[in-house]
Amino acid sequence: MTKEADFLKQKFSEYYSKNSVNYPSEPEKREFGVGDFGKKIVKRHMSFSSLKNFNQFLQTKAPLYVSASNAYYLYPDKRPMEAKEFVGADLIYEFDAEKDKNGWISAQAVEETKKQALKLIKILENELGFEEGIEINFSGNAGYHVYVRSDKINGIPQKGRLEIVDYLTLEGFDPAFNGFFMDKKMFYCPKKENVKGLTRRFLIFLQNFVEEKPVDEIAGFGGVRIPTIEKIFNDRKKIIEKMNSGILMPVTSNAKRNKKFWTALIEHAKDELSLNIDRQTSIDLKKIVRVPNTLHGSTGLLAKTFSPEKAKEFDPFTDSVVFSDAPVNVLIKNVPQFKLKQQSFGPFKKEEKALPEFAAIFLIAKGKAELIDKK
Amino acid sequence: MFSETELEFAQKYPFSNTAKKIIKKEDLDLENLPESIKQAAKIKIGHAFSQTSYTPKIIGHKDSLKDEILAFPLAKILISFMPDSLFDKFASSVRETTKNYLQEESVSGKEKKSLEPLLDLAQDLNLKVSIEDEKILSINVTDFLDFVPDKKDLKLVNQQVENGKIFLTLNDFIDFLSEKSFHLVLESLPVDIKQIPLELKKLSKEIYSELQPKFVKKHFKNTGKIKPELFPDCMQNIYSQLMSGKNVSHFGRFAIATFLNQIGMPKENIVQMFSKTPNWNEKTTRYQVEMLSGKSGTEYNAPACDKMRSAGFCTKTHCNEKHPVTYYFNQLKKTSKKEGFNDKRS
Repeated sequence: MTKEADFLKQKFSEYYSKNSVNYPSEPEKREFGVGDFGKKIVKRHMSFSSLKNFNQFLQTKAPLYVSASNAYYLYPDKRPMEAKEFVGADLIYEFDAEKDKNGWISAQAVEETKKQALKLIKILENELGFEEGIEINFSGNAGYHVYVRSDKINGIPQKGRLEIVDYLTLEGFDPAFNGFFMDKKMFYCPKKENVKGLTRRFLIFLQNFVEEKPVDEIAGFGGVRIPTIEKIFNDRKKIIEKMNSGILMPVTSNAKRNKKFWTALIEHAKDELSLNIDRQTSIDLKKIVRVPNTLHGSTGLLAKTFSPEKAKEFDPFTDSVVFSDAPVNVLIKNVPQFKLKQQSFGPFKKEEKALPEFAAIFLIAKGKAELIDKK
Repeated sequence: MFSETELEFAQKYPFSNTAKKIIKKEDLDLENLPESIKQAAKIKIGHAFSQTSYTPKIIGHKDSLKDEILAFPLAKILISFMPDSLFDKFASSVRETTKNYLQEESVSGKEKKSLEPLLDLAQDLNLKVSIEDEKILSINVTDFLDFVPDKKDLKLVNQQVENGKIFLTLNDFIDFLSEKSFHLVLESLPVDIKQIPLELKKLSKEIYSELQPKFVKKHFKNTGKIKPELFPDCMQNIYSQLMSGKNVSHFGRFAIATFLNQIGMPKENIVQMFSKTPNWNEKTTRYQVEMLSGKSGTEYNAPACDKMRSAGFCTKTHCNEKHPVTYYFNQLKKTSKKEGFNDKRS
């Protein structure tokens, strides 16, 4: 093991000795997995009979990554998977930011995933009615995890889970089944008072779009030339009035072009309303996911839970920092500027520096810094 | 004792929990099945072959109702010996039946249009339904997600969803319940046939061989695809003579026209078949084809093998078939091996 890995493990162990982890719920029914430096999962099919045992394990072994199944099993440590005897599963949705071209995950990108996660929570509560048991946590690295843990959703079969993902990503959304259709020369839309949930959001998005966007943008999305719609869009109130009465106002006398225009706008609305959820991982009942309130071995940040109401104030790069300010000497590779705990660091270009422990751990875990012994 | 209302309900919806209760209570003796139940089961299976609905009118007779109810598990047993492809068809037939009953009673019925039948079936299937107004019903999201039909218009993403409820029009709700019936029946097939008396396996085989040719015929009537290479020699000869513009005797013409009609060739195509003959008269030909295909009130069958033989059209000395049409359908069956009786399952 490298001295960096040793260092991280020592620090993780110290953290776990002082802080106990209160997740996951019903630990005796979960399958656990752990990872090492550079490898998120090296061992799985583990189980713990209680949170106490789990915490003891964290203190003594200090794994750099700890994951648990969202599924509940009768025999979580048995293999193969079928022998575990599945009894139910939480719903979990993962939102992860993509790395930029330098392989760095920007704070803005992570912030974007939070917005998506919050949109999801609203839909889960207001539309799907899963108001109980919704929790959110920072993933510890690139995004957020949203859970629903309740008896109500435990038994939803995989196909039903896929339906929820399709609902959230608008996969299979058919405008005609939702009241948007062309008949003869007229394009119709549903009336706001007659629709609910997604269809309503869809309608409102479309209304706001034609009400607020500049003409050139609307023409661009609608696939028509600006002069074609300029006149009509001079009186936007009229378009909205028409929409309220169930008609998408013809923007040209050419029915084909009119159809093309509104169809393109509907497609755009579809793209905009679709949440960025990974279809496959969201329905995988066998997956294991970072345990909330454990440390992430790629950042040293805590996969911290927080209340959805306080989501706006939550800053993962401050609130998830758990290590001290004590200086640690490191040799830093090429690293762009970054912020942790409201402090700005870098950019660095292959340089030696004493950093506060939390920043040093952040870079070491990312593989962007090495320890140096200063005598 | 079950009330007549319960029996009527169970007869209409034999997959329901009410029906299950009745079936359990009646405890059918598979060794001594009454003929009436066997017959009723056979009719149900016939509808599976054609995937059509079966909505018999049984007028207030408890015993006939019971026969119909008990015929359902028997039909499932008999179907379980048959090829897997029939499971889906059997479930489809139940779906169509459910849909018809519900539509007739809740939407399009002339006399007592009421939501009750819909609500009764939903309740029986443990679905909580709320009446939003006379045209809209709602059910819980989780009930809706419990099984997912392969229908685009019933996808969650195409529903009106709010506060954990799905709002459905009456027609959509009927669709949903019908799909649910399909799902429940399909899930329950095949039944365990290890302990089933041998006699029922025999009965299943009999029903299968009786219904299968009818089905093949109907199927090919629907698709309209004719395979001349599978015709018996006699018909192949006449067919090729006609195609090459040779003159064919009156009996030969009658034989091929009735044969083609029986195996499902559209009338217009039969008429055109004769267009190359030397004395072709379209009007006369059309009149004759229409007459022999049933316009006269009788649909003429093609001559049987002995008649073909005595007219000199059959050259085969060792053909076991008795009728050219049977010969053709047997050949069709052989070429589509997928549809075979399943002996392995027993």
